[in-house]
Amino acid sequence: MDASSQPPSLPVQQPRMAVRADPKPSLLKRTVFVPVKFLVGLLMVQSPLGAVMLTGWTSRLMQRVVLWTWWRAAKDRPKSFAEFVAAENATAGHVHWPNWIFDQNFNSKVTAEPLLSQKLRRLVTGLFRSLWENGRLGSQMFLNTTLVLLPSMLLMWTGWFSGWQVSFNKQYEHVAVGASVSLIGIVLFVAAMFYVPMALARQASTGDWRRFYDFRLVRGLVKRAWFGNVLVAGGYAAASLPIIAMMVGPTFFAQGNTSATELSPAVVERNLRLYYLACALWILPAFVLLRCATACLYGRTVLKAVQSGALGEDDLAENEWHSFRRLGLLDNVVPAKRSLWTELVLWFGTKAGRITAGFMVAGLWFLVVGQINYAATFFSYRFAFSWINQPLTFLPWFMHLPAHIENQWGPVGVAFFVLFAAWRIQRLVKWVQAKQEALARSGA
Amino acid sequence: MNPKPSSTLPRRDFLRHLAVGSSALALGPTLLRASGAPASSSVLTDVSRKTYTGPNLVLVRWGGGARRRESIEPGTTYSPFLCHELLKRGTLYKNMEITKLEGLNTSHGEGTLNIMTGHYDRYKDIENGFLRTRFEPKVPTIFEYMRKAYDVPDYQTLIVNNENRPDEEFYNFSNHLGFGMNVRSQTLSLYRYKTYLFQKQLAEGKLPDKELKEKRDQLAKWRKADGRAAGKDEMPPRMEEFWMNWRGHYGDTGFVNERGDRLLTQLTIRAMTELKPKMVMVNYTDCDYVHWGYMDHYTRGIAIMDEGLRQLVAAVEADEAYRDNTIFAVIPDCGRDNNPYVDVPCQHHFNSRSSHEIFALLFGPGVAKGQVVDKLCDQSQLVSTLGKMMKFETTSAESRVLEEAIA
Repeated sequence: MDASSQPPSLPVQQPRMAVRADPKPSLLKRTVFVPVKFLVGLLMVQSPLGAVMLTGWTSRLMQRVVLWTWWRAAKDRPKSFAEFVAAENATAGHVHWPNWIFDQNFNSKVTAEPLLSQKLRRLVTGLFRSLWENGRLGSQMFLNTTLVLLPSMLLMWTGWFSGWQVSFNKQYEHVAVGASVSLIGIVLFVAAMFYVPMALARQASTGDWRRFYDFRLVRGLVKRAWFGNVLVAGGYAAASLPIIAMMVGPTFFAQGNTSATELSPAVVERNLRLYYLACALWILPAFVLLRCATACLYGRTVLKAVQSGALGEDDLAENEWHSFRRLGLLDNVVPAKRSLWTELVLWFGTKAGRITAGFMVAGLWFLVVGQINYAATFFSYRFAFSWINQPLTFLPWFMHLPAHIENQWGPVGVAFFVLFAAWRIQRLVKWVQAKQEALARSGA
Repeated sequence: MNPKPSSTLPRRDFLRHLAVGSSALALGPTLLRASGAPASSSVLTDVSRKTYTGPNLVLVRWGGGARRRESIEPGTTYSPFLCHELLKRGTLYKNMEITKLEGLNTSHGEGTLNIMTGHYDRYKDIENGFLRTRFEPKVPTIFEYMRKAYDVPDYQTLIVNNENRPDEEFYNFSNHLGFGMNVRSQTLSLYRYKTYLFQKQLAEGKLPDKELKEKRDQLAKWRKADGRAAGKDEMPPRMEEFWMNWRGHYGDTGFVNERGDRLLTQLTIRAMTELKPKMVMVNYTDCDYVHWGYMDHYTRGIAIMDEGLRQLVAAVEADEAYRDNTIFAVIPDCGRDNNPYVDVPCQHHFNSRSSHEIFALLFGPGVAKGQVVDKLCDQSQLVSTLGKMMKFETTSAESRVLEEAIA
């Protein structure tokens, strides 16, 4: 058993209705809150700090999608998904889509408290609960992704730099340097992208950043889900196409516009901010949908692996095991008669299928890197930002002001400072709480 | 204008002209042509041409694509020699433009042909090749005007090209009636050197089989690239001699000689010693790398051109055949964008205003010194101006002359 996995023999919480959450929000509520949440999402795409928040928010949504996938697959499932998740404290937050700022089911939680002091306490602690969770989960996801993808990105950047230095200086003796460094970077990136989406889905599903590094388990899931991997990689490749156009777009803003060169920096900044806000109309849904598709793939693959005995109950994280148990998904299932579609999917599980799918996935990820990094950079170079961030696979930050308007390292620095400060404050609060508890115990 | 008479006809040329000229007189031009004499020497059959005694010309294409900002504006220049030294010596047209015509692309091929022909036109690849720019001039180039008017051999009218722009090898002659192949200029470039080198290596028969085949294929491909000159593009003996000396000095590898735009300067200076060109156009290119990334490739490219220009001026001043008898003209093929929306605002294909904005600097004998002209003028006016200074007709070029430059 994986050391960090929780054994299913741990004391099991009895299912109970955790909160008085309305399983189905009213049409009025949805009409108001869906556009608001979407608008906030668009704004999040505009800065690195916001992008971390969006990553965290998406992580919570991915967990919800995994649960929904399992709920859909259960024979004896509760009538609605909301009913299923609301039945237990650990999942009650998934009755509604994740919030940006307030705690999940904030209103219900506050009103459910009997005493005013408890209401106030709940109000204060819940006011920024989602904001905190989004930041925490987003940082964890970002750091894990960085650790795996950044080396390949840096190699590609170095290879690009070297390649053009060779061309400019005609240093033909060194032509292999840029080419080989780029090639290594691309190969590493493609190899990493076989792993990263599924690992991120596992991290989101378990809510634990350490689960990202369950190499054996994630590798096993990837091998079982070749067909799904082709679809996911294809989704990323297709979604990247409009992003090239968006990255290159500002190159053409001044064409045929003779007055463009006389615009003040303030006007240029305003125009660019509006442009990138419009671009977020694509980036936000593409990022969220692709992550959710991966979560769905993870949920289905884990379910089939457990039910076929390929994965043991011990391989599930505690929260996953509880959900399986509640939905009665732990029993082995005899495969039903296969449809043509199922046969096709299963063929991807054969050796020939896996090899074919492997080449397809590698090719599709190569397309992604070819589009976002190489093709877009060819037309609109953005220094390091052309290479160390891909908005769909890395951080969904898609707003670039030229250096003469704003130093782009500024927002990056702000993001790091805020997240670091938040982390230290959390540690301080925990330390104070521990001291208080120790004092209370010694007093008693 | 009081240029010194040219005293630079090499002894060997004199004897060759004399011999061939005598034969031509004896046999007649028709018989000579029928005998299959190479087109490059056909000019020698016309004895009616005058000997050229006017000033030499060094025409520097300041490119590919350079803005005024990094070239002639003192606060932001990356070409200190041009900006701080040369501007004092001649006439600067600081408001020169490439005119805005529908379908006229502000790019290197087009800009170079504007400079060479004094005429704006729309061009397309001679075989409609994808992303190819083998443009054929539709009106005579300045080289053709000169050779039509004067008895100047082709190897003394030179275009010096960068190795990265093989398409620019097609600018030697126009398809204009009465001009063309017979009054063509010659090109110095690594492309030409490789053509010479491969032919020699094949003839020497010392190459291993694999390399032999590769080089034979490569030569066939190059020959095919310009069907206009097929079978007529023999290298004149003086050019062969030039490349032979080059090979003797720098070898076969291509790793000994200079590279990029520094190579163009090296080729030009060597040609001034060995071929004594009357008219040479140096097509600098390196700053165009900015398209694909680094701003400093642009600014470094400009600085390299500036250093090249300094070396050319020094070479002219050091050579009696050129000193006080050489006009320099420095002119970009096109400008570049000044797009405030991006980090590297240096494209030039999309008709932005600053891609049309260029300049021209003329200096040398007969050119007014220390003059800055503010008035709006055109890239196409340079040919007629140079024609007037060098005393030959430029019939198909823009007729307006840059009068202020003429002292």
